[in-house]
Amino acid sequence: MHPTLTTILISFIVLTPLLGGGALYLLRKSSIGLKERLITVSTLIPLIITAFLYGPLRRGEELQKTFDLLPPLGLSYRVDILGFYMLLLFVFFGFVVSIYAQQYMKGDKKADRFFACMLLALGGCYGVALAGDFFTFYLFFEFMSLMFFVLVIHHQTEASLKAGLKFLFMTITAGVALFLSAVIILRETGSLALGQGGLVTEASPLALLAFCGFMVAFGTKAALVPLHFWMPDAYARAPLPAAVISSAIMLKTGAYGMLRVFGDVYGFSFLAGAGWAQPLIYLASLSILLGSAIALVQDDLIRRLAYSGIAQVGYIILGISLLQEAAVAGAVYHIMAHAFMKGTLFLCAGAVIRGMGTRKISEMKGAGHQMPGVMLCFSAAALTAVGMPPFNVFISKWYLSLGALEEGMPVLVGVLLVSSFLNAAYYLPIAIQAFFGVPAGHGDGQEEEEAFRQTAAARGEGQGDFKAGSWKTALPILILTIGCGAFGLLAVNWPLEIVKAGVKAFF
Amino acid sequence: MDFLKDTGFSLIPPVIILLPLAFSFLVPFLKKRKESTRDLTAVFFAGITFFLSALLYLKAGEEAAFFALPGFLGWGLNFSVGPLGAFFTLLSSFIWFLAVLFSLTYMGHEHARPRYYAFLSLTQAGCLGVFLAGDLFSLFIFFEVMSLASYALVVHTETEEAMEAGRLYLFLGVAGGLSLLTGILLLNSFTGSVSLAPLFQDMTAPAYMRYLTAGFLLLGFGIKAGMAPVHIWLPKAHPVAPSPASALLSGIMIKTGAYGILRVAAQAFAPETGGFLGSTSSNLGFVILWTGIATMFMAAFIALFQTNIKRILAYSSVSQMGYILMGVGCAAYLGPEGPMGFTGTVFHIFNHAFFKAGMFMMAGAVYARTHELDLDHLGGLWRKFPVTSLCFAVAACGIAGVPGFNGYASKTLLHHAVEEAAHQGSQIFLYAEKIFVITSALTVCYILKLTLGVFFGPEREDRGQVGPEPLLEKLVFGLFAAAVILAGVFPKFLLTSVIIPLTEGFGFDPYRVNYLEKLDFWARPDLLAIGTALSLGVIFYLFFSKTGLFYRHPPRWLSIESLLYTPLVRGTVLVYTLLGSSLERGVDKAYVKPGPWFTSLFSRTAAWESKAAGFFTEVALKQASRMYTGIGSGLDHLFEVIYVQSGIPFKALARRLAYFDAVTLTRAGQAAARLSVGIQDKIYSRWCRLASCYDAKLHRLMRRTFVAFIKADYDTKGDPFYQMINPMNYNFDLVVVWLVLLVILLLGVR
Repeated sequence: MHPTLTTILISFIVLTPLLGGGALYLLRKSSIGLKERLITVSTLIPLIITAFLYGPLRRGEELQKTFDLLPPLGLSYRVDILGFYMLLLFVFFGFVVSIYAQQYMKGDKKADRFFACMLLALGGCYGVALAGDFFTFYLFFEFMSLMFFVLVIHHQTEASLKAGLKFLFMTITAGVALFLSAVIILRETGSLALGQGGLVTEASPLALLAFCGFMVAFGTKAALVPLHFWMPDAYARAPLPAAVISSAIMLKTGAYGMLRVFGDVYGFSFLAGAGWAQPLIYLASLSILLGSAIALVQDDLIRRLAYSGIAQVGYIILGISLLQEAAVAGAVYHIMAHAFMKGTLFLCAGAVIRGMGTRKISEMKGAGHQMPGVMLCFSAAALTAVGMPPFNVFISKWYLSLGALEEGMPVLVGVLLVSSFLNAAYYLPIAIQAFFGVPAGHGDGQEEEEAFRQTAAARGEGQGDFKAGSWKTALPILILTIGCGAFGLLAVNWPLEIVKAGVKAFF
Repeated sequence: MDFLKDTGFSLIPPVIILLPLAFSFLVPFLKKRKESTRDLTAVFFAGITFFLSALLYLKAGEEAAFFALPGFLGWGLNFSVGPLGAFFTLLSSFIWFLAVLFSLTYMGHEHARPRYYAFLSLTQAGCLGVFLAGDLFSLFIFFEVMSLASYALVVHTETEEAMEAGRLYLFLGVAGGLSLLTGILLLNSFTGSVSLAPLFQDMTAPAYMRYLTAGFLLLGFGIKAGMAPVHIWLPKAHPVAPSPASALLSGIMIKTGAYGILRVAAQAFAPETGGFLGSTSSNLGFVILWTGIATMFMAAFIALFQTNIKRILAYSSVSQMGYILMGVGCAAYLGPEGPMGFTGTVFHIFNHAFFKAGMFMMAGAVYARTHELDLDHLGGLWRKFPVTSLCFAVAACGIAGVPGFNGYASKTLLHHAVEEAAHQGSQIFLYAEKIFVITSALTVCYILKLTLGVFFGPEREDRGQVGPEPLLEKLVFGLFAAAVILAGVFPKFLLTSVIIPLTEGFGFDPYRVNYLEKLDFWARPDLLAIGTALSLGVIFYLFFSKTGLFYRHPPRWLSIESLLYTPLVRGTVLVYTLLGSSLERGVDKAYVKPGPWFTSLFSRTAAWESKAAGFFTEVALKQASRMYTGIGSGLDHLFEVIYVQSGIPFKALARRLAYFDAVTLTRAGQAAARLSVGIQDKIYSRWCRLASCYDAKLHRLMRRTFVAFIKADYDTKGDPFYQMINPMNYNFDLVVVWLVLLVILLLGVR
């Protein structure tokens, strides 16, 4: 492909969802079918363009460009292997979730506003992955967060407004911290560009301050303990697709930012010498253990998933802050593994919540007899979370553990494995009680099942506009579930190869 | 790695795994068809798997079968099947085949049969994978598949009891798996390899890390093997599963744990040459040996007091695993000198697979017809189950170690092994040998209780017609009994042609192996030893049944579970959940609480602010403006007064003059009056001018003062009016400040 054409095409990765969001707002009076097609197309085009980028990247072509949009710094983008990995993940999940959301949000009066803001937020996320310097990164990061705020308060109940306010304050703090750090780095080094490999070369108090600022900014977004507390409320109050987007994509922008700060602003070898990342290891371990501890006592399925997300992101940050190649590879792989795993769990949770009419785990007994497919996928994802062998998370845990041992920290292996056990303790019972313990009727008695369905209906838990059997629900769940396990079984685990190649650039 | 060198590539190992795997995914698609179709397919798949295992066994006798998937899970899946792995694979797939055959009749009274077959098959894939795996990483993967898949078998009945047992099974299984993974990771980091070969010489770790690694591995495998303090799941989980599944759990699956321990203790940690006593593997062997002894004795003792058939069998399994572990311990303890322990263990695994799996299935056959598992309600069933009771009696003879049945051969080998350990190693194992004999007596005792209680003696309850035994069951049970008898009659043949070749790759001393080949199973001391055990057992039985001690149940609290695990687990869970819930609330509070505090701080600050502003308006601004207006009006007044006061006398004088003029001199007077009025007017107007001049000056002063407030410099430009409206003259900062103050003032006034 001609370089200029590629340049223009890449801009459309960000522009399409932004334009789509705008168009959706203008077309809010038109038919639902048209709007749905518009949503699908505006998330599908970035996916297609991104897929085409793989060829030039593999040939080693330089994919970067600066637009003089906001002088003196300018908007710039740059796609390297790692950026491509994140971008592919983002556009893929953006597409899958937007398909799911179309079915999930049916019947919602303000669905247009939701989808418009969702597309804008997605555009921001794509921009973050494409950013070529921290200024661009900052712009898209803030934009994405503000759009997500609208998604959080979508239901406009008092609780959701409260959760939204909490999120807003946190995200503003994060933005301010990021801005401050970027300014310091710009002043100290004269550049904010990514991919130069270690802008900061000597330790100074200002550089440390900037480091802390970055960590606050990205730690907040990635929900690192003790900056995590916005997350469970926001997830529980936001419409479910928003929670999926946040969990699968937005949390990852935090982790990605941290990775960029470590790799491109400071450089891993510099940080290893300076020892600034050491506290992060402890904080990440704390995240892992405390997130699981809190998840254990939740009866609200979404809150349990949210707290488990805190623990899972802890793995990623732990791996990055170990500053060791295998561990970083494990962490970056875990970004993908967690996205698939948590995405599946959330989508299944949405289907089950709509199907059973309750969010309480204790009331979901026998869900497997009602929605066997959904609960099978949920169980597979639960096993993924525990880190059972054929699934993705096992691979990331394996590499994280290898890295931890390489760094001479066997205790961290213990942390990982204890967390795996805790994951088993809070995920497996959900899967178990879905299939076992509530007999589907001995022999082939359909009566009990029918009675069960009727009691569910009697409790006023109709299926509403949401049909679990619709392809728009089933297909995303199925695709994500396959993604949980398929890569490990392939002869060549190509996400892992991409990750290894991307991480290698840092070391 | 030289045992990998002469490997031959073979597709059989992956196919053996894939067949049951494929069947388990096939089952949902067979749901719509007839049950018999699925049953036949299950038998077919199990049969083919068995056939391939036999092929593999023949092939592995010549050279190890090898297959690898390098990219699998980012690490690589390796199959490497030596004689030992192939032997266990063959054994497992054979027992599995029999269990599937038995399932056909047994599962008739159970629900959710498709699920049962799917998970049975999946479990088989995992279990066979453990034996086929070429390194610990692959072994671990299959181990986990087996653990998880067998959960569905344990909780199959979905009763409250089964769910409870299943929970314990699952969580101990997960914990075991994680412990195993830790061990493998540590092993990999110290040796750079996870293959099933002697790794000791590559080990760079300090001694405590070696033991830690070994400890994790032992714990992981030990949980599955029902090793003594972590056996608690076994007596709960095995009885609640459907009988064919119990048979497989006890007959095959727990052996994967023993197999793993054998690989780790006697191979991975074994020194390649010499100096075995005091080495890591030897110390491990010491621990394993005593653990085995403790396990066998404790479980046999507890089995005496059970009345549920399957619980007795489950405790018996724990006890027999004790024998097996003891053999592993002997092999590891004596290192190159320990082929006796090794062969004893392998032989006993083989024997136990037959008699225990058989007994579980026979118990299942009884349960399927009588729906009763309690010894107190059973008895005299031999009339109704003639073939079953005969086969059960044979299997019982096997487990009790009666000469001529298979248990005798392996127990003799194990007995020799523990004696060797005592002679060549520590004298302390003489006590182990004594416990071994007593445990064998206890085994005889509980097995007598079980066999006599179920099949012989008086019939406790009238059950009417419970139906004839199906032909298929008779066939399966007959096969089990035949295996028990054959292995018991020809132990020598089995030992030399099958079991001794398995020692390859374990680095045993060839002299010792030779000695084994010349072993006489029918030597008098051995017969004497088993005779002692048998007669002791019978005496125990008589004593126990006469005194009624069989029915004395130990108090519930007197178990390792209620003494140690339950409080431990409850405490940990309580602490952790408390921690979790309090953290959830606490962290939120920690962040939200400062909110109101800040708000109140802000509002207090705002109050101060407004107070300060009020003070400013009140004092500074008002006073200043009052001062200025005061000065202005004071001056005004002063001039007014001066002007008025000064005008009055002149006016009076003028009037007086006019009066005087009017009275005295009219013309002169009038002229004078005109003059005086003119003068007076002139003076008056001058005064007026003067006064207005002062007035204007005052205004200019005031304006200047005002301008000073909003202007930076005093150098005004343009004419006075223009000065006022010319924006050039204003300092906007000051304007804003004053405007803000004005607003505050206005707000304050309101």
